[in-house]
Amino acid sequence: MFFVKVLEHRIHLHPSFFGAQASDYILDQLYRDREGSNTGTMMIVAIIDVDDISEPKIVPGSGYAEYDVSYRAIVWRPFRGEVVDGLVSSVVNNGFFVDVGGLSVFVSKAMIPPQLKYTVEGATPSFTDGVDQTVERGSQVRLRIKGIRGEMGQMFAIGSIREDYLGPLLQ
Amino acid sequence: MAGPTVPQSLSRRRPAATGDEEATNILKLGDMTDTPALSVAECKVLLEQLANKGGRGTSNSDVYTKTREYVDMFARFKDPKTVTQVDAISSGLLMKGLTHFERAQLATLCCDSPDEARTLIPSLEGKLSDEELQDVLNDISKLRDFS
Repeated sequence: MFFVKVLEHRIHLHPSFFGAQASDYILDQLYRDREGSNTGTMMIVAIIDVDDISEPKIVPGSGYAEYDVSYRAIVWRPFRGEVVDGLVSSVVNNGFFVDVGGLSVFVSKAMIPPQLKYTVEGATPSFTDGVDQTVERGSQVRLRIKGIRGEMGQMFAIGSIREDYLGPLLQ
Repeated sequence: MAGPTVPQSLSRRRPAATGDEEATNILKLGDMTDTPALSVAECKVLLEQLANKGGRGTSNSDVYTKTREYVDMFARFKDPKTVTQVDAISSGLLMKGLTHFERAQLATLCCDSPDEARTLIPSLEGKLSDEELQDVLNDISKLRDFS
């Protein structure tokens, strides 16, 4: 789920940058550090604008100036139990991987309705019930996120399509 | 206990407990509670506006590129004016007790029936009557872009 969140970041500026363009350097640093980052629980997609740059404080002992920048950003954060749409990126025999934006969700065989069976046609593996529902690379799928694990810089998730109204979307 | 005790005010405050957030029948959104949420179509419009505004330009990071592709593909409403109309319709619901999360989910998932909406968004149970929900879903489907 996308949110517009107000976040804070602490930036240290080297004394050689103290001057008229200090605020530009700070903004550059902010964009470089935070835009596109993954904190393990959420992804910062884009910074909308900067609310406030605090007065600088010199760090005792090092000479760097410390700024607290408050900014608004579009963040993406998945929640356990949330229903999302995604694109299937690969199919293996015990499930398939779905790309939901920057997150890769794995749907295992246990979380797939029994009618959808793993079949390989030529070189394309897919999960299909032979009638009208097929999940293969490039299909759009609606799934419910069942679990998320986050570490610094990466998120892993598992999902399920074993419920009403979930599964491949008609295109 | 041996050793000096540290006065309360000098010890570092523990960061808020995470890990139990969920969006099932009850919404426990942690520090995203009360944060305005965006549906996929709204996010697409906002990202396009930010990219067009120029200024710092757009990031080349993996996260940004993948997100742009994702919202372009899955946005149910392509036109910014339509997105504003959908926002107006679903914002009326915020008065009726829905949270930001549920409103954005309704605008993203575009369900056909109240039953589908309540199944996909379990926390909606008991918040809206069937007719109210069906009215909102009808209004949103009329604006859907099937191109």
